[in-house]
Amino acid sequence: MAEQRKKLKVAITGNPNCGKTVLFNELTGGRQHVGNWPGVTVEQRSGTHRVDGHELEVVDLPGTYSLSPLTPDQMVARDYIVSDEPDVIINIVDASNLERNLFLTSQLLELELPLVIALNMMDVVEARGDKIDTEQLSQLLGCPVVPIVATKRRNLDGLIESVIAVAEGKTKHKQVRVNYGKDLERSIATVSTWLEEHETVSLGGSRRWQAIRLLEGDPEYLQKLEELEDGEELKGLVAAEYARMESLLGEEPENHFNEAAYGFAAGAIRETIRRNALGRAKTTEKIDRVLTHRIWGLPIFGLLMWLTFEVTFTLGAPFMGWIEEGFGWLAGLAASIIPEGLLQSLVVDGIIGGVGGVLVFVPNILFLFLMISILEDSGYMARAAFVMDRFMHKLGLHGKNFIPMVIGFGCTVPAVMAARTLENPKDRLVTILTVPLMSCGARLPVYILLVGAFFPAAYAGTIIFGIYLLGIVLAVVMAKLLRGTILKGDRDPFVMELPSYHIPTVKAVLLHAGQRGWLYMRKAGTIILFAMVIIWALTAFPGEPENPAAFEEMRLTSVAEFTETQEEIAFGLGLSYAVEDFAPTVEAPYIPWLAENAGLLTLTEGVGDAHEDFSATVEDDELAEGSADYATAENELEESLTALSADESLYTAASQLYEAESRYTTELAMIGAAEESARLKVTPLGYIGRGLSYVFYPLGFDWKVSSALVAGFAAKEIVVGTLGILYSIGEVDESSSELQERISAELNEQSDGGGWLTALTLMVFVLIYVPCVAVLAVIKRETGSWKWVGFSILYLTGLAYAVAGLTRLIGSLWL
Amino acid sequence: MTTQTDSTLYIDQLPADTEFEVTHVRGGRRAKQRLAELGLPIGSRARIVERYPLIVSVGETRLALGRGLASKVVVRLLVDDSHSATSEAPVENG
Ligand SMILES: Nc1nc2c(ncn2[C@@H]2O[C@H](COP(=O)(O)OP(=O)(O)OP(=O)(O)O)[C@@H](O)[C@H]2O)c(=O)[nH]1
Ligand SMILES: [Mg+2]
Repeated sequence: MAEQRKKLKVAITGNPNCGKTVLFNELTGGRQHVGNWPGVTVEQRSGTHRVDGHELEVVDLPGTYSLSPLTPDQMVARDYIVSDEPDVIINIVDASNLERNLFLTSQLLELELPLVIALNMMDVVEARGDKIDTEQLSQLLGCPVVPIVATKRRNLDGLIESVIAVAEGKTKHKQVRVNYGKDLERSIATVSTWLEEHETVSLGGSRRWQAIRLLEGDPEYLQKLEELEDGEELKGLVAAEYARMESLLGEEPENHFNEAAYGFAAGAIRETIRRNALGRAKTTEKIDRVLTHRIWGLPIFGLLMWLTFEVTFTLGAPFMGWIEEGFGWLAGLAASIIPEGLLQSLVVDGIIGGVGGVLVFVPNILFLFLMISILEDSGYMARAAFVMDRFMHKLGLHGKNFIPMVIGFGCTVPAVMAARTLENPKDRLVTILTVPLMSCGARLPVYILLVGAFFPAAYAGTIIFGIYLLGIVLAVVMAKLLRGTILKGDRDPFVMELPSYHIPTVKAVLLHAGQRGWLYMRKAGTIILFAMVIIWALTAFPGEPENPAAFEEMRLTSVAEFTETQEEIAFGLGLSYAVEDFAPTVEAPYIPWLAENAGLLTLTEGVGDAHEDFSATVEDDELAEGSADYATAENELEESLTALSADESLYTAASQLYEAESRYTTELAMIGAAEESARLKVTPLGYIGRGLSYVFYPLGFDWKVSSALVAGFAAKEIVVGTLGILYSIGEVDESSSELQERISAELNEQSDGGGWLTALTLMVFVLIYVPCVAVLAVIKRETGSWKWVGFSILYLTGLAYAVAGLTRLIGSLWL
Repeated sequence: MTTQTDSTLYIDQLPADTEFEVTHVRGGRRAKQRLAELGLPIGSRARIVERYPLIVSVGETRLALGRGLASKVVVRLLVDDSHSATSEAPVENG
């Protein structure tokens, strides 16, 4: 143990979608995102793998088709490979698509780097019935070739052995090169020789590699020449050689470089693969005929999206109910254990009301990511982009811009980063600026809360889908607008690989969904918890409304009325009670009924129980007034009351007393709520919120909603959490009703039944307005300027206000 | 056995299931490089899978091409007498 492990740096490179990240995760125990489409990984990530005596630092890189990067993510890969940092490079090659994959390999060979080739996806090759002679391939490429199946961890040990052997120089390395033919080779030699004579000049990579890049006309290398001292001379030489090759070949030399590389690949394959004579199954093509169909492609995409949200809402609902009940129970427990006061309020209102309000949505988040993972892992993602291409094309964009958008349904942060896979800097900017309009997972709870509170469950999924759709439409419109104004310019050529479909592995899907669910919970337990405590603190002081006496007076009036009724009942029955020492209080409002009147009290209780049973049945079974079941319940109530009415005059008195009692309790609750809301208004958040509510007045948001929106700048989950706190504080009995009911009651009351419109306006506003702080930070990082951060904030808030206002305006036609 | 047609033919003019060879890419080296590294260099042979939207199959790779790009790829029709499934290899060097 004491023995020092030898450290090695190992980079994983290869074409996009060949399984680099799967291998990385399996080696390092990492949890990086895997998906069946090109361009999942956009930044480098490292982890460690330990085997006896060695500690490998494994670096996962974005996929790249060649070493002349056209996009920032490919740049990351290329730069790391040529940086001299890695001791060994694992070149993952998709064995089921050898030829195309070996194109990159041929370039890696030119770089003369310590290379191990991992022949991945051997399971696919075997399923096809093909045979690959890895020994032979290893001979032809001059480096170890190790067949593996990354997803099944097959032969990973063998791969690591080879890596270590190469690192320690135990493997004989034969320098293999692509032969570009007599004419090109002569030019390569000329330029290489010049470079050898000018030792100080280096543009990165081996001399041969530099010569090839220059002669191929790689703009990046030619650019580097400009900055060199001897650049002029070399530039002249390269230009002369280029012209010579061109005249000899009769066409652009770069065509020949590519052709030779593919020729090399084709040659290697011819000697090493024995293909199954039977034809290939064309399942993928058949599926594509349907899914990318000229007419049906778009509707199918829409349907899949709708299904996603329907599942998220419908399947999530029962779990959500259970969790909500659980928190209700917890709140009750906390209220009974902790003495009334600030601490109780912090725990019950702040933590359980706020964080609990956020955690209720964990099942929905899980289902959302489950659906997204299935879309991603099946291979549909690339098709979605392609289907949208025809549509996006008309708007001056192309389909590839759409992949970041779909990623945005999960979380906006990786979506902004996914813009790296786009070539054109302006396309990238447009994507970064519009991707926040795609509604992310953190915004989903707001919709679920509001849709559940104001709309029938049958439409819930569809309404949420509508909100997402609005996001897409706005994103596309804004993209078009930006592309036509401040970000004018050419379009990239759109060409994208369509991966083979495969059935998503249960492991990958569950892992991804579980991980996202866990991230959500962790966030709720950390940042959101912190925010909730702050929000709560802003609502806890002062502990009294401006004029507490007024509410006390109201309470005393209620008590007086209640006692008066009691006295009337007693008088009517000719009952006696002790008048001396009689001073009713809010807590003890009953007149001192004497022992012989116990019969009345018992009977009152009985009446009360009967009524309670009735309302419990109606509520639990959600019976509608007028329905047959409702009538049955009413009959039962009638019957139990009749059973109690043996002594008619006593029964009448008991009924009256019961009614007076209920009225009194309701009055007290209303006074309590009014007092709390009067108190809230003079707390710091109350002042802030009321100030803001002037701004939001046209949209119909009250001060509570306004403050929740502003708090949501930090993270969108906070919107729901804050609503949870603000609407639970006013409640006298915490577990009596759910947050949805409270919100719908209060918003409907404010707007005479127009609560649904306020809810809809609020959903639209939450969809559009300012992305969270984390997103603003990535926008800064990806664009490198605060200017675009500021622009995002301003234009999104403005757009949110305008579209929400329009929603309200149109919606008010139905009011 | 292949025969050649005369006039300039673009990839988006081909019907589904025809095989072709890429002869030229108009419009700069970026587009050409993109196509080449994805498996469709000048001289490669491929097949149209679907015409609308355009999907081509080169060896084991399926590529989706946007409209803008499709109108820049000049091809030569290959009439295949032997009825073999897919043409796999791009033409060889030399
Ligand atoms: N059948 C099979 N599928 C595999 C194997 N390795 C990876 N895959 C699948 O290939 C797909 C791509 O895997 P990733 O690890 O995300 O590929 P990547 O190379 O990191 O891709 P980029 O990050 O886009 O460059 C996933 O759907 C994997 O499940 C394998 O050995 N066999
Ligand atoms: Mg990856």
